[in-house]
Formats: sequence, C-alpha cells, structure tokens
Amino acid sequence: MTATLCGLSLGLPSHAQTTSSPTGVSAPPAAVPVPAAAPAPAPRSQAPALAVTQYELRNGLTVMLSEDHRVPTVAFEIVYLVGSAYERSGRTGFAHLFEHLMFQGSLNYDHDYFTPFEPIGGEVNGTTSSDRTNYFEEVPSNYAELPLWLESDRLRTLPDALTKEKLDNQRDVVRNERRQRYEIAPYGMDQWYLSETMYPPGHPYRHTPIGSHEDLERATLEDVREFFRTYYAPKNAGLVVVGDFDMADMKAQIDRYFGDIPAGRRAPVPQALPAPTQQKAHYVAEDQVELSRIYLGFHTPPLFAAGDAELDLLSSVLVDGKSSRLFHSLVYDQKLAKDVSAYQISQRLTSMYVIEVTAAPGTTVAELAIALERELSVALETPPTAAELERAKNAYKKDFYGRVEGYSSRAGLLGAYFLHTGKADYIQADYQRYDTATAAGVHAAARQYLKLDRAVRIDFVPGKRGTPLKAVTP
Amino acid sequence: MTTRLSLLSLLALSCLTACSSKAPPPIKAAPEPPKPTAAPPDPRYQALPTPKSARPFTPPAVSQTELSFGSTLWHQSVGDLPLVSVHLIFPTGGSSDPVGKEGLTLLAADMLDEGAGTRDALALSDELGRLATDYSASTGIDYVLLSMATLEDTFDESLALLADMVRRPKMSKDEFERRRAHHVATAKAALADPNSRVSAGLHHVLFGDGYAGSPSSGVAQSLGAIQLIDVKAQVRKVAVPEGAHFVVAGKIGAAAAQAAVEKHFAGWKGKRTPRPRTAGTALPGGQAYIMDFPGAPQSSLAVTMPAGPASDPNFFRELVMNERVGGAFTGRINMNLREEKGYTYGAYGIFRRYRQAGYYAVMSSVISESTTASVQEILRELSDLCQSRPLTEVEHQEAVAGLLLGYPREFATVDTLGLKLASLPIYERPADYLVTWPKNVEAVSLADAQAAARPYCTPANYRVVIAGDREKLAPEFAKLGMTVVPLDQDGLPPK
Repeated sequence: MTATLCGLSLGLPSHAQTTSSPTGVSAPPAAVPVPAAAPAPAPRSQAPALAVTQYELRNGLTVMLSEDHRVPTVAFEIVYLVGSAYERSGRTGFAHLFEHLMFQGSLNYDHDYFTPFEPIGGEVNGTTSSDRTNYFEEVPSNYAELPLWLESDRLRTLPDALTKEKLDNQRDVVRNERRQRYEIAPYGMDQWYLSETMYPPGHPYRHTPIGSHEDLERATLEDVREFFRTYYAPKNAGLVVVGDFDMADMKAQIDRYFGDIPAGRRAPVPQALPAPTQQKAHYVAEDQVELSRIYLGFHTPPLFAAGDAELDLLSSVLVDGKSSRLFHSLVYDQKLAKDVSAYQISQRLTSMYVIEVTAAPGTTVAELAIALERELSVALETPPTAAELERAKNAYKKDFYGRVEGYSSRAGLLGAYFLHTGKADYIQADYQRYDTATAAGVHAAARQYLKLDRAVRIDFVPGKRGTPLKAVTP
Repeated sequence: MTTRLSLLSLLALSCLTACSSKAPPPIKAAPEPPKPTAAPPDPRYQALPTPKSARPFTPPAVSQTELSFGSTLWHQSVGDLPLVSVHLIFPTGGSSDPVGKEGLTLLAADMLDEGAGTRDALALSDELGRLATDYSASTGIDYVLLSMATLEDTFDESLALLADMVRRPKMSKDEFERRRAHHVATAKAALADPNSRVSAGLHHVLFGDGYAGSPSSGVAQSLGAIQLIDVKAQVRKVAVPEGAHFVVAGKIGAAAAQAAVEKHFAGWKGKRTPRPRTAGTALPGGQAYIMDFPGAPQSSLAVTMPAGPASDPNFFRELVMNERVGGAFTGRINMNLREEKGYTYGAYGIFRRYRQAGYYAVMSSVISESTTASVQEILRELSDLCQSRPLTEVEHQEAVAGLLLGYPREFATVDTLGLKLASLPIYERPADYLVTWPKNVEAVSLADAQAAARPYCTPANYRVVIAGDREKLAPEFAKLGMTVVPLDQDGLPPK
C-alpha cells in the first residue's frame, strides 16, 4: 500500500530535476458542496492560519510574502509560468534543459549558481513540471539579499553569459538524468508511457518534462535565447518569500532588484485538446523488473475542478490502510498483489488518475488483471462509509500542517496556489475542499471518471528493457 | 532523574550561526570578473551583497529522563503547529540476525502492528487512520525504530496503540505469513534495482559475513527460512524496556510527554539479550566487484573503503574534510564528473556510520562508456588530496561555514527534529550533542581536515562496486590493471 497524499504534489527538490507528479491546476473550486449525508465527524485539526501579503510590482511581477520568525532562515521561490506543456514540437525536454542552464551563471555572476549558497549553508535548486518551472533557495536570514541579487541578475542577463560549452555540458547532464531516473530504474518509464498513451499527438501533456534524447540533442543556443525572451519576464512570474524577514525591508529590496526589469508579457496557457473520447486501450512494456506491474490510467478533472479533491479522498479509500478496498481485496485477502497504489496527478489543463498494482511472486499478469478489474468494480459500487471518509479526510487535513511547516515547503505551496488560482492566499479554500467533501460526492466522482471501459492499461513485464511499447489488440 | 542541559551550555550555543567575535563569512565571489559590456555597469551588481549581522539561533532544549520501567525519554518541545513526532528505539538491529535468517529483526519489528491489544491487524490499521497517525517500523544495522507522526490532540491515543504493539502484539500465524511473503517479494523486486544492488554488494565486500555485512532486510532465501516461532522469540528479546529510548518532539511539554509515556508503559518488563555479530573480513581493495546488468546504459557505482564507527574520534574532522570533496554539490568530485565532464547527473561522497563500523563511499550513476574514466577521476581526486591538491584554506573555511550556517535549517520541522533527536540514542551520543555539534565543527582546523584526508587518499584501499554491463566493463577494468570479481544478484562474491 502506498500513501496517496498527492493533492498538490510539489515535486521533490534535487539538483535541477524534473517533477514527475507536477503541481495541479487552475479553476476556482467548483460548486458549493452539498452537506454530508452521514453525520460529519468532528475534524481533528483546523486549516493552518497563514498570513500572506500579495501585490504586484509595476512591471507585473507578483510578489507573495509570508513572515515567520520561528527559525532564522528565509525561503525564496520564483515561479515562471512555463513548463514542458509549452514546448514546441521537436523540442521535448527543453523547459527542463533551460532550467539547468539557469544555474550556469549570469552576466554579473558568471559561475555555477550553487557556489555562493553552499558556503553559507543555503539550499538552492529548481524543478520543472508540465505547467511551470520553479527556482528556490533557503538561506540564513542575514543573507536574504543574496537570492534577490542572483535571481534578478539571471532574469535580466542570462543570455549574455550563455555559451555553447554550457549548453553541451548540461545537455549531457540532463541525458544522464534521464538514464538514471527513468531508464535504469525499475518501472522508471511509467509516467512517460502513460502520457504517450493517454494523450493524443500534439497534446501539451503528451510527454513528461524529461523529454527525449533526440529532442535534447536538437536544442540550440538560439532556442535558449528565444525561450528566455518568451517566458522569462516579470509578468510571467511570481516571487514568494517565506520566513524570518522584515516586511518593509523585504518589499524595498524586492523593488530594488526586480522593479525596473522590463515587464514582458504573460504567456498564453497552452490549449488542451478536447479530452479524447478514450476507448479502452492496452499496452505491454518490457522492462528489467522481477515482478510484473499493471497501470490503469483514467482522464480526470484539473486541479481544483469539481471532483479533484474527491478523487484524492477516493485514493485513501482504495489503498490507504489494511482495510482499504483494493489493498484488502488484492493484497491482504487474495494475496495476488505485492502492493497497490492509487493517486490523482492533478494538473492545470487536465488530470490523470493512476492505479498501479504490483504482482505477488507467482501471480501472472493475466490473473492480476482479471482480479484488478473485478475488485475495482466492487470497490466503486458503494460510497465510502462514514469511517472510511473520516480516515481519508483526517489524513489530508493533517497533511496541510506538513505543507506549511517548513519555509521552503510553504513557499512551494504558495507558489502553486499562485500558479493555479492567481492567489497565494488559498489554503483555507483548498482545505475546505477536503473538509466539506461528502461520501456521495466521492462516489459520484469515482463512478464518473474511473470507467474501466475507458481505461488505458499498461503492463510492465520482465523482459528486454528498451523494447518499444507494444499495443495489444483486443 | 531528569537531566536538563545547563543554562551555560545553551547560552554558549546562542551564537551558533555566527559567533559574536566574528563577522559573518562573506559570500563567495565569482572566480572570474564580470565580462565587459557596452552598457555602463549597474551599481547594484558590482559585488554580491554583504550579509547583515546574524540572528542568534539556539536549538530547542533537550531533556533526558529515566522512566520508571527502565527506558529513557528524550524530549524537545518545539513548534507552534499541533504536530508531534514520536519514536521508540530498540538498540538491536539486523546485525543481530543469525546467519541464514537475515531479516529476522526486520520481520519481528514489522509484526508489531499486525494486531495488538484488543484489535486485530485491520482494526489497528483503521484506528491509526482515524487518528491520522502515520506509523512505520524500520530496522537498521543497529536498531529498530518505531515511528509515529501524529497530532497534539491524538498523541495520547496514539501512544496507547504503541503500548499495545510492543506489550501485547498478537503475532498471529496468518499475519506472519502475509508479512513474510511481502518481504520475500520486496527482496525479489529489489534485485532489479541497481542502487539497491550496489548497497548490498558494498556491505558484503566491506564487511564480509560479519557485523554490517548483510542487509537488514534479508534476502528471499533467508526470509523464507524464518518461522513464526523465531519471530516471537526475537520480539521477546528486542522489544523490551531495557535499553529502549522514547523520543517525543513537537507541541507537547516535557511533563505531559513523560506522564503519557508512564501512563501507557508503566510496569513494562523485559531484558535485552541479542548481541551483534562480530566483525567480518573485508574483500581486498584495488578490485572491481561487478553485478551484472546487461545492456545498462549507466553504471551505478560506489568507490568505497572502510571508515570508523559513529563514535570515531575523527568524526568531525572527516565531516569537514569531505564537505568540499564529496559532500557538497560544488565539491570537487561532482564539479569534475558532472559539471566538467558531463559523465553523470551527480556524484557524491558520504561517510556512513554504524555503532561498530563505518565506510566512506563516492557514489554515482555514470554513463556506461565513461565508467572506468569516472572511477579514475574519482580516485585521482581522492589521491590528489595527499599530493598535488590538498584541501585549501578557502575550502576549509567554506566547509566549516556551510555546515554551521546550514545548521538551523535542520530544526525547521517537527519530523526532522524528531529524527535528529532519535539519532542520539541510536548512535549512543550524549544529550548535549546538538549543542556541542557546532563547536565540534568549528574546532576542526585546516591542518586537522588535511590530516583527516590521509587514510582516504590511497587508491589501492578502495573497492569499486558496480551494477552495470559486466561483459562490457570487465575488459575496461582489466586495462586499468584491476581484477574484476563478479558478484551475484545478492551482492555476494563467488564461494
């Protein structure tokens, strides 16, 4: 069983990496939810109170500040409204490659951007998802001016310090990242294959941020310059600062470093092609794995749209805890599976719901597939019980504390709210989605979106890694 | 008896991030001057900004209390959010597993929440879910760690469940068979994971069949040999109050934490009996030990040699020494292999410490064609430390400052704090360890750090452990004059 708290998954920081479960989406919360039919259990926690100041500089840069003096550090996050969904044909992986180049130096600091942070005990990194690219730092509070200096310098001058050598080196690094994180890891290509099979050619989510080797090879210096001109501008960005700073002083410093950068423009959001009227599809991926695994993918609503939070809660009902419906039937009782997980990958244009089941040794893929379809059908027949819904809600509600506790984590959360709603101060509304969800609402979302006759199924089976994905004709 | 750290030592810590006698370290200047441009230079960007004076930081006070039933309670009160981190540590780990039954302690720890007290496994799982308490059991070489991430208002009920688990576990045959099958499946799945193989191979190569030589998670065969009767006996030996440590960190006061632990655990009895294995024999240095991953586009590798245990007197000197070599992103090895050569996504050097042994390893996944070139570069970087390029004064200053200034961040969340506190009893560290840590780092001189490098700069001492395409790699290592020893899937050398 796998924890499924991924409502607003924020991508793990690591040195310039892509996020495979990118942050979700836009759209204000849907219709006011209907009160629960069953008596609502007493909440075990309240939404954490957060004071957030949000304003725009005259050039359109959105600034979001959350002061907190618990620990003497300050976390910064700058979000650019561009991700792999914005890449043009033949340039998959480019937004992420560009992110790497942002750490290679700018006009006034033409050196590795990690260099000034490590000797002051700071953290610095960036991630790229389908919908956005973020850059973040956490430094001792007396060094708080440093990230503003460096972030503003690279936003002004990156192309002035760009060289072919830097591009070639980071292209090699990114291709090695692809090999390490996707190609030699068991089931490592899962999200890539799911994207390829769920979305039609030309769809912004047809590929994941890591891109293909061929396209990475094609990237040129001119591509980098054009991408910078198009997307790296104050109007297309949000700056979040969280932690131990003085409000007036921070505002003045932000204005000093960012206030006179030319505004640029807000990049248009890529258009999602109409949701395909998906027919059931089945593929087989050979991989160097010991145990087979089945993935089922379903098209689901974007982050914050009606049904999104309900699908998160459904995940808990299906796979969290020993008595959760799929874990209990497939793993605990019938012993056909080693583990099962289920999660909603909430994104801006449209989301994907994924169920993965790893076969127990001795179970064939065919046996597992039959059992999975049968038990999923049973699991979706009835609404969650009051006890199931209470457990699911309590887990999500507690998770909000974890998200705001660390300064960097909170900066990431506020940046995600900005990306998807335009407002950093959104935690109460987000929390309410889970707090007010009903058993009927969870059941309705499950019935509407998790239709087996529309599912894309991919079997990972032991075999020769790198063999092209095979479509199975029904 | 409650031991509270003295006020004096806490005051001494208050100047941790930048001690009062010193100005904050300047930010490292760019090695090269800015390029000339047509536009007049922008005065804002002529130099990196100067830091302001540091705000003092004091880690939260640690209290250590002897409990009525013979265990110890470690406590730190922190945070304004209603989060509480609870750990129960038993100082017995996988190093006590009998030969042929590796994984026994792991299975014993894992069985504790498979039904306890009045609840069967399903009801216990449901109750943890209702309380929003995340529970996990982990087993290391030296310890079993039972962990709960819970809330202020469910702390007491969670602790009641923990008491049921360790005092009244059901240990039913059905649940045992489920969990054993699960761990056998996990061990089989891990055979396809190159990182897991490098870790298994590294331990066998460095520690033989002795202490720390076998993975605490066991292998399919050893797990299959374990019976319920073995697990029940191991629980009676391991999950006992003698030598056990409770850790409570978060929004709970010391008195309330102690009262709750006493309420649920008073009268708990049991003596700790297992003893870890004695030290084994390492396989020779200067050789390449390869697990076969045919056709792999990358080689996962560790360049490794034995080091001292957690209590090693050189601990802090080696910590500072490694920082600018393999510890930091901008350390020598990563800058060479990633940023200069483009062989890898990242390369890091780490010291891993156990109670009775340890090792140093430079780890990376490198493009297959550059495997031997990467190993040569790593060995050259290490060897240069004693020859052409000893650690410099600047590197030493950067290492010390980076460690000290980054320290407050380690206290930023209740979870990280709870784990940090748990590491003290796990590695038999004193209660004032968190207070003295910065002073110990600061006390390492450049000469100390340079001297600490000496045992680590002889290439012949290193073992190269690789998960990669053996057929392709073996002739390449032979060209370097290195003997290639094949390891099997479990990371074991030929008999």
